[in-house]
Amino acid sequence: MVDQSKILYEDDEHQVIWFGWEDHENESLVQSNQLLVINGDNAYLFDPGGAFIFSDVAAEVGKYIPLSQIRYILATHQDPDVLSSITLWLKATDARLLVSRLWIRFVSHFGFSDNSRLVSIEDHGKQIRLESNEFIKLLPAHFLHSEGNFCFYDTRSKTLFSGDIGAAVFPQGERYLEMSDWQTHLGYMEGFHRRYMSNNVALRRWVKSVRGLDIERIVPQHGAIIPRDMIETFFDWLEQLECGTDLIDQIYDNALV
Amino acid sequence: MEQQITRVEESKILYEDDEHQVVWFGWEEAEGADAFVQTNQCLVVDHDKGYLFDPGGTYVFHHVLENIMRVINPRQIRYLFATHQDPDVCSSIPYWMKTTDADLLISKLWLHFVSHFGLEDIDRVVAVPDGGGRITLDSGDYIAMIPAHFLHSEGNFSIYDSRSGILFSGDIGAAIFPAGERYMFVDDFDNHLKYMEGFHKRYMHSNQVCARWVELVRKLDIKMIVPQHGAIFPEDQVERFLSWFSELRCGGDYIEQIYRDERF
Repeated sequence: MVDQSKILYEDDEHQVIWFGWEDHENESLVQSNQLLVINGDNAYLFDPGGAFIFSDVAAEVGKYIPLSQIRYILATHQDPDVLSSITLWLKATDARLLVSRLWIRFVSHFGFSDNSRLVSIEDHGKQIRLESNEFIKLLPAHFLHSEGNFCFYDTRSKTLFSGDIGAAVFPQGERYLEMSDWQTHLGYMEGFHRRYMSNNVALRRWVKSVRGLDIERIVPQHGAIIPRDMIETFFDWLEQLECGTDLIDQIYDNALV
Repeated sequence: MEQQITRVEESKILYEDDEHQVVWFGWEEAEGADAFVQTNQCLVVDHDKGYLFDPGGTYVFHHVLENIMRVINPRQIRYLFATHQDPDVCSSIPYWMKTTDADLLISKLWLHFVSHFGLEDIDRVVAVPDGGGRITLDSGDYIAMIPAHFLHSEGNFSIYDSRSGILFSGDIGAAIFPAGERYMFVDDFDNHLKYMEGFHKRYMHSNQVCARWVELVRKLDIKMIVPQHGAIFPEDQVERFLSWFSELRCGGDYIEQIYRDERF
């Protein structure tokens, strides 16, 4: 069930709404965050989520805007927790899906045959111009973790939706919406990043490309929001983190051949 | 859907003896359609039990099922193996869990992610540790999950059938053919490269990992490599492929070019 939605930013023309979703009954599904940007009459949905939670997310989104006003659905990457609901969203809306060119011929395997509503994102990214002359920028975040991966920056609210970067996995009952204590939060982030993120080179390349942005908050697809005063610490941590193939000997150790 | 999916050579027995069979299933789109990447599925039958590798996408589920039913009753399938979490590999999983009594073997990294395809419970999902695992068969042989992490998925395995010597390599060795150009076995490696190279250079992680995987699988007696997309490498092409792959620069080796959208 969606246990909450929350307006993260609001002015006369523009809203950013966070939807959190969590499985209270069992531990079989990783928790996921969805984000909706409403600008004038148009809406943009980031990482709509798994097929299993579609009806909950759609109902909650519908409280803010008719689904027919969603113009684009943006996917950071191709994983089931990000996008296995896409078949249903394409039926429920007139939106087009933006996804890395790497996954264009893979995502249809979720169960649809009409690719005319898919728009591929080239490796260097893309930007969507909003009515108020602001932008949603689709910025490269390749290999973090997916090989064809993007993060989304909303220039009006200065919100960066970072996909799996900055994701946290909480023990049951420990989840909070916004992080405040770095050391505590690190404990929930570190294991995930060390195993799923590609390597330190890819992390540093990404940090270099987003450090110049004026960021009010980072919203990852799992876990908690990182507020402005923690962002510098977060970037510094990523830049020195050894992960993925930096640890290849450990990961390939004990291979059963 | 019927107009979109063409069943080319529907199935082919890759190995057979009295106790053991390996059957390949393929399909592709009708000429001119461009929605789906083609996939290969593999079924091992050992005594009266079946083992299905990379069952495929939701859209092709009923084609694959129909092909399999010509070989074995789906209730005899003991394990479903997924090399990784992508939709073309296993978005059909909720259907297969209903159609069979099989357990799904997948990397521990994806345990809590695959349920998002729509599984009601994960009691039948087995999380495979990074080191891999082995299933012992009734014939005394085994099927092994060999680490292939970061190629491309972070939690990724190749699947080796010890009886036939067939290595199901997932995305490693995958080829993408232009319409009408597909063939089932590689016989001219140099010519085959043009269908393989672009994919591997962009999707595979880096040379360091390619070399690591090759080092690992060289310990196996490999009679055939079957990737999840494209053509099969027969025994006389295996060494050629492994040498090429272990030298390949790819993925993060080109990170500056990728961020600038340059071709390499």
